[in-house]
Amino acid sequence: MQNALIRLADCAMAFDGDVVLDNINLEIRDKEFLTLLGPSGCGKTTTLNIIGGFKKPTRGDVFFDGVRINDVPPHKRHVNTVFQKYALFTHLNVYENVAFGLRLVKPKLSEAEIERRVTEMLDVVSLHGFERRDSSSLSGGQQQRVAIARALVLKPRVLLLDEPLGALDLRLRKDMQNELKRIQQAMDITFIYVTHDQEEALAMSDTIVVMDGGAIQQVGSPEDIYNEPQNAFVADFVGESNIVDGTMPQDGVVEFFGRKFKCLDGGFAPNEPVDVVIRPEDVDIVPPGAGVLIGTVTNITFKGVHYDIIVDFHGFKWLIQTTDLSPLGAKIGIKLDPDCIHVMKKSKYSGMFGDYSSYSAEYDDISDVSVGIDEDTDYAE
Amino acid sequence: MQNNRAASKFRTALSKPSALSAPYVGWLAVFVVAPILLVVVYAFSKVPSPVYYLTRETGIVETVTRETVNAELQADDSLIITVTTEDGIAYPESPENAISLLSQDNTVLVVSRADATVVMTVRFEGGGFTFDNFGGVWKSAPVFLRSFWLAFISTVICLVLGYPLAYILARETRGIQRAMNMLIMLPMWMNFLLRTYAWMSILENTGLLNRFLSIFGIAPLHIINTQTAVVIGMVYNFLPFMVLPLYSVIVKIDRHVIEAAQDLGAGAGQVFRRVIFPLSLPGVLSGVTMVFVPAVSTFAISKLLGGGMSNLLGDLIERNFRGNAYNLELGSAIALVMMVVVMVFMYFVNRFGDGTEGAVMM
Repeated sequence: MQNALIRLADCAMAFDGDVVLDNINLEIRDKEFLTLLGPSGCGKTTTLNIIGGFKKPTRGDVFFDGVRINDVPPHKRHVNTVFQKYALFTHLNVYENVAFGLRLVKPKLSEAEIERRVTEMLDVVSLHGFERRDSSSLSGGQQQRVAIARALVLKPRVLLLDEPLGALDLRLRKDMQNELKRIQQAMDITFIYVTHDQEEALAMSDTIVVMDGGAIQQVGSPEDIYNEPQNAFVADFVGESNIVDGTMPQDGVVEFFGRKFKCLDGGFAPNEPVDVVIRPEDVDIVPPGAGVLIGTVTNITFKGVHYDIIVDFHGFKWLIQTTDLSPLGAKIGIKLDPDCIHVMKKSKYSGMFGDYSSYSAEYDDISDVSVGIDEDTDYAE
Repeated sequence: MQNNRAASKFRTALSKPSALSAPYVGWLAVFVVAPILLVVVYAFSKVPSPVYYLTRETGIVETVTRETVNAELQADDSLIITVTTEDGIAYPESPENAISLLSQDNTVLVVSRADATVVMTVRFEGGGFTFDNFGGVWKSAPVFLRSFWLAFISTVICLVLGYPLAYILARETRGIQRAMNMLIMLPMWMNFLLRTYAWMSILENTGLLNRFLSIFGIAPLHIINTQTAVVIGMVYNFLPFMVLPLYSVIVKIDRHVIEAAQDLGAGAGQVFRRVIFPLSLPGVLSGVTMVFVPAVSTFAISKLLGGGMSNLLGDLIERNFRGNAYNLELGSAIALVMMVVVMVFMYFVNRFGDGTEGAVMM
């Protein structure tokens, strides 16, 4: 690709025989907002550390602007990092934190130049007037902004962000998402963002790289990732999905639960077994008589905007999101439009996700966003 | 956020005086305030001097100063005491007339004269406010200078030796950290005097060190009974107190902060100078305090290794409290002045590290 700024070629990483990264090939375009998304231990932070220069891949090459940079130390790369827990210099005030990198620039910058750039950068992150504040006296969101300003003041071509919003509360996290997107556009540089939070990834990114088990599962725009997941892992990790076993008798027709449905996918071998994804919000609830499938409501959770209901179709339970409340135990029918059905090739993840039969346990897992922050960053220790 | 709120609630609860704190207040009063109070009181009190009261049946007739009382131990272990009053009358007029009795508490002497019996009472009378003791402290100014100078040198050497050790230690794997911590602590579990005696036998003119050197034909070094030996002893004894606080601070420095500095363009030297050292300053201050303060007031080391040639404050105070030069008031005054000087010193040391948290102050 012509405009790839960073290229990872066959990168692999192992610690003491544990494979953390397995053959990563990735191209990152200039000025894009790219997110590495995946659960703890999926290798996303290791990938970031390889780009940042804090870790060397055991195999494979890293190219920056076409030049191999495997052996270039972190401080000689045109890359700066915003660390997970801010990693501010607590012995310095806000101004000196931001000026830290500028004071190391050779040839030495004049004090006036440093002041101009620090002030400018504090304006960008909306911290005007905080210059003399003690860095440890700031709130989490403010510390995060200092960390961003500190990294951006050096005008890197790429900014790496390692779960920067992980320690903030939900409200602040939403604000900072918009803020980060705005800063990225204002600075007009590449952001590489690591997170396990799919909402964050969908909201901010130009490109999302979904990772699991040290391998890339899918690369694409947020719409691609959400609407056209390539396997059960992606379908389950990004958003929520009901995944059922099916077959493809022919292009545009998929069969599951013993019925044939129209769909928009094709390109499979005749009668090839497939995974069928139906997003909970795509299901239309209709009176039992009018439905293609009829099931029983077994659980209702009020979520504010909608209800999460669990519907039992002959032993297989689906999650359906609806604004119309059907009482517990009611029989309901559902209708599926062709564009609501997404067909995927079978993968090693088939059968592992997308079944709400063991509803409560899995539900707890997926709604607890804060589970497992920072676990994979300490892999090397 | 919720955690923070819970934590701050917990802190407010702790900051309120409660019944739980009563024993600690009592403890503070008894073990912290009382000794200091005693030292202050003694430091400003007059040194008791003996006052002799000569009494006849009619009551006190005169008091005499010590200079006029003369006691002579006779061959048969009896004591002949003669007293000359200010008007020149001596009791007894001749030694043969004297019957003297030394009462058990050394305070009452019976002096007889041919014509009358005089009871002499000796009372040590002190008390009363005075600054005189501090005049005595001034006389030991050289000891002060020597003590602070040697403590200063020892502290600097401990810092220079201890910092790299603590730094390396903090970067090692957990198992090695444990083993090395153990090795550093090990001498501290041995008796202090024993350790110092061990150094005596190493540093002696015919000691282990010189015997070792002689193998290579190097002329013996004269170390024992010099200030060098005292400094060696102090460094040896107090090094763990430098290493441990340094280690505990350095080991807590977030790896990400160091990575952040590297990321912003700092090479190894700059990372140390601009990040690691400033962040370890609380540990440096604690270490300096914990080495300097005991080093100033140490006593046995100078006696054993310095051969009494380098008299230090600790020795001086010890002698004033339980030695030949028994003088509680002077000893207290010396201790008080030393405390004030150390406090001033620590104030400046802590000012130097202003804004750093977690330093052991005093």
